[in-house]
Amino acid sequence: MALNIDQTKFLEEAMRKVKEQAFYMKHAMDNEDLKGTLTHASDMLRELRTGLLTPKSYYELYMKVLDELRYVEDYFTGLQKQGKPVVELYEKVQSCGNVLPRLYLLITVAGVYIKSLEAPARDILKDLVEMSKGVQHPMRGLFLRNYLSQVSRDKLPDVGTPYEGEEGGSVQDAYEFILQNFSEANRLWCRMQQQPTNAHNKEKKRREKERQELRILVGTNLVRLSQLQGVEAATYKEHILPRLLEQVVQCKDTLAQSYLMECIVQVFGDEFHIATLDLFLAACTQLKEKVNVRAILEGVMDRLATFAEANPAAIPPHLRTFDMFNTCVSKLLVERPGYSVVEVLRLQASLLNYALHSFPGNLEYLNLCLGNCATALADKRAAHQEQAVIVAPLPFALDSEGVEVVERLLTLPLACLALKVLELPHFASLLEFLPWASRRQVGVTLLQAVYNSRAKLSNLESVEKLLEMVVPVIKEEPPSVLGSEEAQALRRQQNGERGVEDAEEEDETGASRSRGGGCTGSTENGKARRLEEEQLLLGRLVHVMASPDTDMHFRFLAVARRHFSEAPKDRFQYTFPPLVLATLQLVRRVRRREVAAEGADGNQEGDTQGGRAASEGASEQVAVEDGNGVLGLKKRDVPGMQFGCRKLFQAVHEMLTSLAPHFANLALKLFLEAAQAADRCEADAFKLISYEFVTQAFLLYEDEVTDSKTQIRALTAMIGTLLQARHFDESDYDALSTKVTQYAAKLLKKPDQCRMVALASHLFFVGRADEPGHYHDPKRVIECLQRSVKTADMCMASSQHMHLFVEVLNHYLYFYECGCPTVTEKYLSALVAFINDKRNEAALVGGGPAEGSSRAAEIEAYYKNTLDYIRLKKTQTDNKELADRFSAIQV
Amino acid sequence: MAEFGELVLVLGDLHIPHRAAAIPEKFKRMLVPNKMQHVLCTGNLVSHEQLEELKALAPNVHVVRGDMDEACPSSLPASAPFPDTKVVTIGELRLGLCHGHQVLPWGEAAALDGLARELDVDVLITGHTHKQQVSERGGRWFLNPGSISGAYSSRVGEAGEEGEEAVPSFILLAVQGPKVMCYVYEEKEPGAVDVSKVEFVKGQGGGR
Repeated sequence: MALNIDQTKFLEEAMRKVKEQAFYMKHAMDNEDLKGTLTHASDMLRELRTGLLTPKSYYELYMKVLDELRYVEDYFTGLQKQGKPVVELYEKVQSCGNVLPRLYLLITVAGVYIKSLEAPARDILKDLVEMSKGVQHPMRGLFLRNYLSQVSRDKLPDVGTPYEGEEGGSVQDAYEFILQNFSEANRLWCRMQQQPTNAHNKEKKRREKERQELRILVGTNLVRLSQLQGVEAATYKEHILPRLLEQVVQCKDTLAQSYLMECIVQVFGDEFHIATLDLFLAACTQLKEKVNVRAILEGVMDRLATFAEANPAAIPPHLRTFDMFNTCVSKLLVERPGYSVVEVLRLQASLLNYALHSFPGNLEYLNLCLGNCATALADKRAAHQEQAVIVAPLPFALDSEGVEVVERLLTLPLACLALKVLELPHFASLLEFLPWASRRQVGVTLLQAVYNSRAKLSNLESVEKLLEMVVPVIKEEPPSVLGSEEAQALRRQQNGERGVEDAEEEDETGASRSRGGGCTGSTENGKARRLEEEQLLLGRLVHVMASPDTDMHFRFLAVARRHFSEAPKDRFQYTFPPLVLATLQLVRRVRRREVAAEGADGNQEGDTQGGRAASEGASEQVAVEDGNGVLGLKKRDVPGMQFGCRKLFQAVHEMLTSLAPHFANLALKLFLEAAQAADRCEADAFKLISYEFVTQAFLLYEDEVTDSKTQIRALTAMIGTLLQARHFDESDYDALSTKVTQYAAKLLKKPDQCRMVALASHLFFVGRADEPGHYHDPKRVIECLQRSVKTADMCMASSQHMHLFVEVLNHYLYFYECGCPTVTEKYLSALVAFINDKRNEAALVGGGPAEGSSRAAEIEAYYKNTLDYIRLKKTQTDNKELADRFSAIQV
Repeated sequence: MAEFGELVLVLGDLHIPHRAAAIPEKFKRMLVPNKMQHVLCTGNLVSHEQLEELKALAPNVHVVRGDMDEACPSSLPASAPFPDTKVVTIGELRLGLCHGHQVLPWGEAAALDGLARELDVDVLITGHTHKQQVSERGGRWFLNPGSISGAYSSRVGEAGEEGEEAVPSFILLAVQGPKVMCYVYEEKEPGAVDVSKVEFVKGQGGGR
């Protein structure tokens, strides 16, 4: 605090004096008093001799003085224009008694002198850079040299400037001048730390901070060098960079080395770096121990990677830049055994990133980096275990930083490589070093990358490998061999300060927030959501696997099934449906091959005329027990094909049987899907399979489905499936239809009964009479419909009864239109009359629950639309027979 | 946009990841936010992620429940389950939306007629069959967007026959008062999108 107050005071005092002298100085200028001007200018500049100010305050003062010096420059320029030889001024200011003011004035005049072209730039600049050695106080010297650099900026004998020439000099003189100014400035800068102190640590730190603040004064010189138009890559390589690097290496100053190497990377062009990479990298290995060489290398690699990406042909392959970097990295690692494993990993991560951008598709380079990491970690683990024998502590585990880097190493190549990652043998070996949660994270990223690439898995080895890599997404972490305390300690170690749970929680809330969605629920919710997303992601994998060979395709699915089956059972709901449905989809292709083969041997088994009517014999044929699982099927071979449809259905059956105890509704639905797929095989041989699937669905319905909403949904699906089927034996179909109708009639609520029995009526009138596989039992149709009407009538208490009547009326109409003989105009006319009565009644009583409400209006519209439909049919001219039949209905 | 009236995206039966990995790339690029005012989905999203994606497309998203949605309740919002049917008014039209598995026999015209009478709509949109369809009966229009992901269905094509897999498809409606321009997009070959157009006016049949 005291220091700050003092600083303000010192600065204010110095500023005041500067302003005062500047005032007199300008007054003297107005009076054309050269002597007075120089005296006051010199007095003003004397303020810069102060030793009281910190770099920051000194800089402020310096800027103020520079403002005033601009007047001096203008004044000198004016004199020069009036015809006064500048050499006179140049000599005159040298008489100034004090070295610092003298040099500032000299530099100012020199600027005018060079600009006037009255003297060769080369000689003047040489003069100045030499004379500036007169100031050896580091901070004052640095600012003075900065002034020199600034004034000379636009007066260098660079190519294309008026200062270039036989006398004025060449670009070589320009860069020699800058190089010299740079090395002097750097020397002063480095000396700041070497100044004798009381060796107080605090003092050292303060000085280090001050040096940090002054670094730009040194770095400016490098910027000037980079701005020289006449310097080409060859010159840079021959004459400039070696001098810079020599200076950097030899100053043996950590701060200077770090800063200047970074500067070199930043200020010079990409082409220059490419041309001199070997020099630069050689210098990197000679830097002080504490210099962060990794950051410097990262800087060059990132820079060149960006450049290479934008200009793909810019880096000639013969340069083998990757090898150069790799050699440098290896050398560093050998020479600096003190590097932590994390540091090693980071270096490799930069190298990998470089390879990824500069040599896209070069798997060898990527594999090399990953391999280096795996080796480093394996060594570390071996060393750890050696120690562990004595101390017996925890097994080897990466700390949180290490985990983060390895995760990055493994994630970086994913976006661009996707499935090609499988071709990197070291990817998997490095993955093993990560804790389970991180491996899961990498697995998720891998899956996403694969989907985004829209690539397909087409060989068994890749399928196996990929699934192996995503095992942590599939399964929970297997119980550790460690005691729970040790495991916890290990986790703490891996997660740094935070516990595993905290880490996940943070992750979750972040995720839900970014979705902008209403999921602000507890961690439990977030976890469930994450699990769900991951499992669905996993399920998609099934569609990425594809082979033109059906046997191979089935093998892929089998591998996936084997892995998915090892997951906790609550995850089956996400991963099994895709597997089951993909298998059913595959059935179709397999069936095509079977049909083709059957056709080829003239086997009549594929007969599609089977239908419900003609069935005997065929069932005996397929019922032969051959130990082929619960479906009890006879095996028929297609030459060259290993897995037939039966085998596929067998797999589906097994999967659904393991799903059923945990997710009855889902299994029921999928059993029905499987039944439809089997029926679609269009052969008698599959009707038993289809029957078996439907039966399983029915069993689940009886045992597991209890609430009425789910019952209705299940029944709808069951009826729909049966209506779709064409190949059941008549007796089987009859049994199944009767059963469903019974289920419908046994529903708890009357309205549900009414609706479902009406739906079930359709089971007894399938297909037109002239279609194969049609099934007509008109008596049962009318029984169902009559029963529905009766049940609807029992729902008087419910507001639904009117709606139910109209609904059933529509079912009557459907059958009437189909020509079902038991559904006659008598029934229809009666039902319409009955509904009309009910409406009149309701109107008389008034105020029924639905009266006047929108619900009532909806029912009215429904009824009106239904009657309109009947009236429309009556007038239909394109079907006279139908029109006549409808005319018989009294509306 | 004004010359098109209101744009309505009609799609459904995504079944992702149950039966398909994703919506075809070509379709995905066509379905960008802030173009459509309404999304009408016939259901079977099967995963929450898909719902989120629909919600990003348009301010008004209407979804009805598919048969697989009811079988996997955990994938979808339990707090506000999708309804069986929905009626939405756009322009001068009443559009009815229903997945269609509740209407038996599946996909049969006479049965769908009944639902259109019940919902009292000018246009009835259903899915479930995974086959796109645009037809007119008795002054009402019946639309089926098919499956936008080309999801497998045992009901599409005949087993043992070549090539009959579900074709990815969806429908885009431009509604202006009583008038509708109906565009059907189909990806018959991977990467090749076919568009067909039908024009109709509320209560009037025919037209093309």
